[in-house]
Amino acid sequence: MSIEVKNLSFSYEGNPVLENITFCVNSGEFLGIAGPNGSGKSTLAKCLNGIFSPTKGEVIVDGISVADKSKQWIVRQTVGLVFQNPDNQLVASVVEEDVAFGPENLGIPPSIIRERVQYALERVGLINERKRLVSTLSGGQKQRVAIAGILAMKPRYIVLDEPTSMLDPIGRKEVLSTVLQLKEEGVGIVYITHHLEELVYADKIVLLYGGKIFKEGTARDILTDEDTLKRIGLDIPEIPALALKLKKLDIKFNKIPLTVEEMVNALLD
Amino acid sequence: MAIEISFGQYLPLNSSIHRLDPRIKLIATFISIIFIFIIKDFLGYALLACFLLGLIILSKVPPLYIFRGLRPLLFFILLTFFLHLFTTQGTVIFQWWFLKGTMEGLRNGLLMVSRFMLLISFSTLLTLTCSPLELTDALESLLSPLKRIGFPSHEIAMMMSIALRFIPVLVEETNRIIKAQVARGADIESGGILNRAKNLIPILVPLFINTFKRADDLALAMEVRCYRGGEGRTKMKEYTLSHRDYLFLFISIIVGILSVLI
Repeated sequence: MSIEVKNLSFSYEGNPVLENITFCVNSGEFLGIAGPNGSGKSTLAKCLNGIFSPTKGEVIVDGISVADKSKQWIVRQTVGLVFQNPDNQLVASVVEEDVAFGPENLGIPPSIIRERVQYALERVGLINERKRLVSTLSGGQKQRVAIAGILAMKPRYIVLDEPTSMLDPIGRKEVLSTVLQLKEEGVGIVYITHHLEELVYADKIVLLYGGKIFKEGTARDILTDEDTLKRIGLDIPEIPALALKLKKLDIKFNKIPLTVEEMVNALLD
Repeated sequence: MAIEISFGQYLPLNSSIHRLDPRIKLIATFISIIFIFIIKDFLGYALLACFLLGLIILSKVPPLYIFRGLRPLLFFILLTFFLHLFTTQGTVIFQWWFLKGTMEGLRNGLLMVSRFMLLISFSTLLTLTCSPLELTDALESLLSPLKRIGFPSHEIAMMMSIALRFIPVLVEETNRIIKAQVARGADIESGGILNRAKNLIPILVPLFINTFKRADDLALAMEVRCYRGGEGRTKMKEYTLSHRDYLFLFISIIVGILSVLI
């Protein structure tokens, strides 16, 4: 069970946007995709559930090619997509009505829709807000409603395209911890961002630059590689940056820490 | 503030009127409005007013809210009253300057005023006891037989609910644009009417552009969530008609007929 991207190229009106991209996401895995503006991140997101069909190569979701238009609704249900602007992706005025929108489109019987709405809102921690107006929620809450709306369709993978770039730090934390919890529950996560500190818990990171894969590796490989990150114009997260500075002052690390806890433990040893 | 306006004045209370099926409430209001136009004398209006009063009490809505619904139209109501009072031919009861108030005018004026007030009060009660969503659902369901002749009832209901969803978003956006333009030195409040209309351009242009962008995003988000029109779509909320709904409809019709015959 995985999304397999094989030699994917995509051109938009004759201009190549993505070239020869290959990677794979399994269910229960957290893949981070990072890159500067214009690196093709959002286009890649839309290729993963068949909104865009590959110009060359293929994207296979659980054995189904996204280019197969006869199965496009199955693909879209299996791979949920969450966008940047929380306001522009909520359809209904009331929280639970919005979460029900996806299952309603799938033609599921009303009693099961209610179960799924309950399930999805519990997962994102908004069950007590179910009757509230969307317009009275905070940005982080709105984005979690958007995630719940996708969850209610029971996807196996969720692709999040810069889900936190319009949120305040509290909203960011809310969204990120929701995503991490979903990963634990076996949902495959593709998390697109240019805030690298959000990817410290990623299993794999793919760096995109100019529509190509610039580098890929584990979170520790990528997030501690200051030179590579600098070359493509991304900021190294604070903790690895601090660790690298300490290293220059002759403090030894077995492995460069990524989180505050790792840093504390490393320094205590 | 603006958000309150945009959501009608729905008061989420738990009353027997609130629990009625929104379709029935919509039909009953429609029927009452028809009868209001048929009725030609005060006794009929008095009966309907009593009926309305009963409904207001049952709905637990504070009567103040009904008056609030009337207030914006007060000028219009008074204007109609005076127009009728002074323009109807008949026995003159008083004269002020060149204006002659007639007995018939007074009667016509008062009839018109009762008609307007009842009309507005009935529809206000409807919007107070039905959420906008229930209303759109009711409308979609009532118009769905017209689908057979190609009437897009699902699409219209969808458009209405999206419009309701985005009113607060666009109000917020407008305020933000106004502030941004004022901060850049735009003068939006001085000058005559023509000048002020011109001053709206730097607000409306970005608002329109952003709205198209939003529409684009929303369409994509809907597609991602497997939206493909009304066909094969189910609804989370189910509306089933109970005995109380039929009873309410029956009573509304009886009261309407009585107030015409009386």
